[in-house]
Amino acid sequence: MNNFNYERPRSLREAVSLRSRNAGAFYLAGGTDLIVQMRDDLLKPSLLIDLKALKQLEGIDMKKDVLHIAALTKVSAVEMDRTLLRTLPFLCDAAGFLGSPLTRNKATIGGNICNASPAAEFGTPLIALNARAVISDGEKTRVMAVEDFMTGVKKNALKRGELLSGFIIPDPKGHKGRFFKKSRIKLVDLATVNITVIKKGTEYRIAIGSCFIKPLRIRTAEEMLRGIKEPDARLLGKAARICAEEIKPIDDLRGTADFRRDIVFHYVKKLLGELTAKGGQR
Amino acid sequence: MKNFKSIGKPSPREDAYDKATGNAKYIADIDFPGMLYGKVLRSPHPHAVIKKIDTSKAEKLNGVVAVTHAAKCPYKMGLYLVDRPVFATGKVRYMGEPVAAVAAVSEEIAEEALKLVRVEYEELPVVDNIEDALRKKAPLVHPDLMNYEYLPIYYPKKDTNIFNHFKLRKGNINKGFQKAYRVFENEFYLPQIHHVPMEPHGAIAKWERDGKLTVYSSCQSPFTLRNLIRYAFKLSHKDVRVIAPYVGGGFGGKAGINMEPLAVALAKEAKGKWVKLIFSREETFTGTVVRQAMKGKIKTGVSRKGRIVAEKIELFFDGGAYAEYGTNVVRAAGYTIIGPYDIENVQGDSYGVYTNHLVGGAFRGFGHGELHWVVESQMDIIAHAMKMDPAEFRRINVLKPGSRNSMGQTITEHTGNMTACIDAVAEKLDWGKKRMKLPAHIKRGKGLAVLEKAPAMPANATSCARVKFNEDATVIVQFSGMEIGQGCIAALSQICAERLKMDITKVHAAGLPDTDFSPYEWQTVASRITWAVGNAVINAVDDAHAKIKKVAAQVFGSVPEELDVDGEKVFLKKDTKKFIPLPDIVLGYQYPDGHTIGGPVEGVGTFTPHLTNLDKNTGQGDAAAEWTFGCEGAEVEVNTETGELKVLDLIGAFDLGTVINPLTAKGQIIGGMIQGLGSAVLEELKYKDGKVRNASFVDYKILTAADLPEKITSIFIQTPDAKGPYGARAVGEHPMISVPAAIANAVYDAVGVRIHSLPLTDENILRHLKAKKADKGKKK
Amino acid sequence: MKKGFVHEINFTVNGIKRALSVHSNETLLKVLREHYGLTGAKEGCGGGECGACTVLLNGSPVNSCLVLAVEADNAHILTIEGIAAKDSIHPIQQAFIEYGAVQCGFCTPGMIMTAYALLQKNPDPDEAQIKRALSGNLCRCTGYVQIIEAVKAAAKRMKGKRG
Ligand SMILES: Cc1cc2nc3c(=O)[nH]c(=O)nc-3n(C[C@H](O)[C@H](O)[C@H](O)COP(=O)(O)OP(=O)(O)OC[C@H]3O[C@@H](n4cnc5c(N)ncnc54)[C@H](O)[C@@H]3O)c2cc1C
Ligand code: FES
Ligand code: FES
Repeated sequence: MNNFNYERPRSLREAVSLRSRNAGAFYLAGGTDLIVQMRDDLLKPSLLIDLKALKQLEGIDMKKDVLHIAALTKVSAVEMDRTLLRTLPFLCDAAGFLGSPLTRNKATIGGNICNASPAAEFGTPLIALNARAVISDGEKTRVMAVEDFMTGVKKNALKRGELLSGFIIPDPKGHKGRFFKKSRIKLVDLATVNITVIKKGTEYRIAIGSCFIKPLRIRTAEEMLRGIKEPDARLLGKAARICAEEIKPIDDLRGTADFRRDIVFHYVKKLLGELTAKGGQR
Repeated sequence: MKNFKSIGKPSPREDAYDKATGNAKYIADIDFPGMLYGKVLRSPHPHAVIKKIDTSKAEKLNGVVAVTHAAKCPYKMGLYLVDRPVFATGKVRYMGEPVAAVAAVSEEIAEEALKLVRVEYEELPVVDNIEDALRKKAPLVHPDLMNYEYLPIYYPKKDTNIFNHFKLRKGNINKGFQKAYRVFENEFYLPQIHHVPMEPHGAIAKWERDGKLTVYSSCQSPFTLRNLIRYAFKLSHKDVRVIAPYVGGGFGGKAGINMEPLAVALAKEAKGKWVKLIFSREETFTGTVVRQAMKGKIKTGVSRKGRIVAEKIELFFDGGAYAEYGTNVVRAAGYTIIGPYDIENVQGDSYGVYTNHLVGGAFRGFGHGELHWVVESQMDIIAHAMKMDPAEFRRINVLKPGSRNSMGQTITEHTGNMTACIDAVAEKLDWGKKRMKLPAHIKRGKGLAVLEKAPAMPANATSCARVKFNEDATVIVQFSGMEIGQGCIAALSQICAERLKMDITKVHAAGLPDTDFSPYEWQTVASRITWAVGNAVINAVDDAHAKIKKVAAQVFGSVPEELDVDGEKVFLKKDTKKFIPLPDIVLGYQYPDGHTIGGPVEGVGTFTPHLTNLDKNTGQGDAAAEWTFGCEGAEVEVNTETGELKVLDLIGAFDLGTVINPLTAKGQIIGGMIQGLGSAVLEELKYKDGKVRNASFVDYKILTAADLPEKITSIFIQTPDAKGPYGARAVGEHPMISVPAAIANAVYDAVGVRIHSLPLTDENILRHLKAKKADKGKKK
Repeated sequence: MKKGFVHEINFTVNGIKRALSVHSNETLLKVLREHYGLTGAKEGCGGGECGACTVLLNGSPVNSCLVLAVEADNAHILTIEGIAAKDSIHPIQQAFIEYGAVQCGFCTPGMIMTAYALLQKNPDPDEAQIKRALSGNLCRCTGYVQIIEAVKAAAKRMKGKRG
């Protein structure tokens, strides 16, 4: 690992300003992506800006029916948060599938989305929840859909003078959801496929990860199911088929594109079935 | 069972305290003042000519003390066949082969220096698989093969990539097949896998200017390592000292000689300074050794009644770029080639084949995991085709007292009980019982597979142990069998205490060898330590007792034959009131007037198994000193829509003779079965154009605690071995061997697809399920 | 040395307050091993994948190979060397020894630290919780079964002591 400068700013403004002034600077959250990449010489930052001292960037809050999750919130905190376990347990499930318990004590939810891996564990639940990324330049904030925030493999929409301060989930109540991850071993592996499906009233949302350059919503399938209270097995099968067709997976060390399509087909159908009262029963 | 005091007890191992407290020192934990750090430059190409190496810039970097490569270190090594240069010489033969190395005052500087070494390559055609290697006009990985030195029990073939061909011939193969009612022919494959010891490989070396060399190494075989280093670097044994700290897992990957010569080569260039070389995890994957990939072809003739009458097997091992242990893996797999079966007519051919892959080496199972994958898949295919119960089919055909095995040895009551192993597994699995109702896409199945293995060692593999009495008549037992996790420290203390008739708490095992001080040991491989060194320990105790008796006889005015020794005293058998407490004699006996006879009591014991070489043309002879039989079974669940495999139950029964320590024996069995399960369902080194693509934990996964089968059971069958210490037999490697076949057979039972190629990943299973469906569709 | 590469840190290691200059690119694992000789934590991969380097950082088990030493400023660190009582080893250590949970021992310190953190948080874990908690600590020797048995036994004993 190369040597580098290290700062632990006390204010958001200082953090952002350090970043603006240093071309080779990176924010350090949990470091579980960053330090691995530095170790492998894939990244050689000139400066790490450790965000740990910025306590306002940590925590989970429900304010007036809007859920705020700050960027530096540890993955283990998301996994065990009482409010979340009650309202959005599938988000906790996703957290519980990220890395190992040891990783999760360090990794942050913001780091996961900023790192923008196609397999990012929080990708599918957040985009299925229509979560929005809150971006700060030290003074003002702007907000955009997480779906648009992740722009490609390891790419995000942040500009140089900005950082991700957190996520908001508008209207978090009344979501029924399921998170699923397929990997080579049960835990502690990157996803071959990850899936979140949500049912809110008669609205359906399906998000699939590790099957394109970023996690994807499959809106054609969602639309097909919209308004139907209890879709039957045939319809669920059809929706699952659309998902399997619309993803654009590649062959890699975790699985072939074909296998990914088979997994998506089976599990989208199964998860939707679990969410709807009668449909999907075999 | 006899009434033992120490044998058979679950005594905790002495080394566990050191390890559980963090006190145990492993190679990376050892430091010396002024020590240098080594780093290795590796080939990015699987096969290429080295046109030029320029190290001048690296040498000039401040803090760099030594840079070395083939020109400075023109040495070669090899266990049985000397084909491997310390540094790639003239060409590189696999991706990851060492090309140069540097030693510097810090790791960072050493790394920096590596980047300054310039190497020009010219790529050569790559031999990327076994078929390519065997083609008539295949590029030769070692065109000079026939000029290499090798032991005369191995048979390389001129102008080919074959570095060893072992032949087994028994009975009359043609006549055998003529008698057959049905004949089955199949092919099977398994990929290279890695040992993945949790401790990366490492060594620390210092070469003094007076020519003395000291090497600390995380190794399984300090004496063999010393021998091979001294051979490669042309030194005398007396000038080389190897010290082995605790080893963080070996599984064969730290046997023989491995990465140590790289540290030695650096030490030679940085005389008088310690050079520490610790591999990264990635280097441990590519820069050490792996289990060979293998392709096996099998043809079996069966009588109408289901008796195997003839079998022809060819095994082709992908030995990678250098033969290493592969030569002997080929031989060991060759002489066991039909597994634990009684077959009259056999033709077996086992080949070691060079490719441009990672170097194949010793791996838990030593060729037997590979051969049993072929044999035990085939047996299942035959049983189903003959409409016989697979367990029953095996009962009919396995070795029993009176049968002759592949190399012509006669099985006796003492060899072990194969049938009992099958019965135990079948019973525990509820073999043949009906299954519960499940959703249509979830299928369950059961499978089992048998196995046998003998320690694979040369006929002169010899062991020595020493038993030293302390002043208070407690005892230190010394040996050089390495504690690599298997529990030999506990087992050998128990054997020692038993023979001494002493409480185990009075015995301390000094199990971390130093070749300058410790007794000789050939190698810690082949599951042989408890068995072989155990015998040496017994002999050492007897020797110590003889010495005590000799002195006591003088005191009593008697003869040694009239005396006996227990844990407390030496006494007259006829009159037990006449005794000398051991503390009064173990440093010599002092008469009231001060005059002293005798001296410190140290017993020395040796053990050499009785073995012979095998006949060149038939492979018949006595290459196995003892056999361990076993059977493994599994119940699995398969999701027919996703191929997902769940192992519900995994069972292993082994005839390990007298169990010395049930706690460590269970540990060996369960640990081995889980490693075997990983090799069955998950593990594989993946190549593209000769380049390994998954040399890290990110993409080479091993099972975690969360991946255990729902149930896992170890069963001991205890038929005492006639030659083992207190009747013990080897069991270190065996549990890994037949798990893949047991799982594959269970998958077949569940969903009716036969998978010929490991690993049985969900994806692999699904592909077969889909192919079967498509096939059915076509037939309709 | 360029300014900014070297940092003064203050932290507590196994109950002892320490001050140290570290390079920004040194990991906590390296500092513990090389500066303090606390070699119980091991490097099995250096990439957060194996858990051999597990230590407790402010009470939570982490991969110390992925923690920069500078990050540990003001932190409390607990390593395998710091859990024994004056005259006796910790019940988890004792159970690992008695239940055959230790083979080569390379994973053992990390395993024990993870188990330690688990039992602090959840004194009575079931088997599934134990397996999950240990899933980031790889062991190649034992097949985990005896490790799980040891954690269960330790939990029982520790509860007995408390209750
Ligand atoms: C063993 C292991 C297993 C893993 N398994 C998984 C897994 O199963 N699933 C998965 O999704 N990931 C996995 N990861 C990857 C990683 O742990 C996660 O992506 C994690 O959430 C990253 O968070 P972090 O806080 O550690 O990010 P860091 O490494 O600190 O940061 C990642 C990137 O985001 C930037 N960044 C971080 N926070 C901000 C911010 N607030 N504003 C702007 N930029 C920021 C950083 O500069 C850096 O470029 C694994 C990693 C390891 C080591
Ligand atoms: S060394 Fe830290 S996780 Fe492997
Ligand atoms: S005991 Fe060897 S890795 Fe766990």
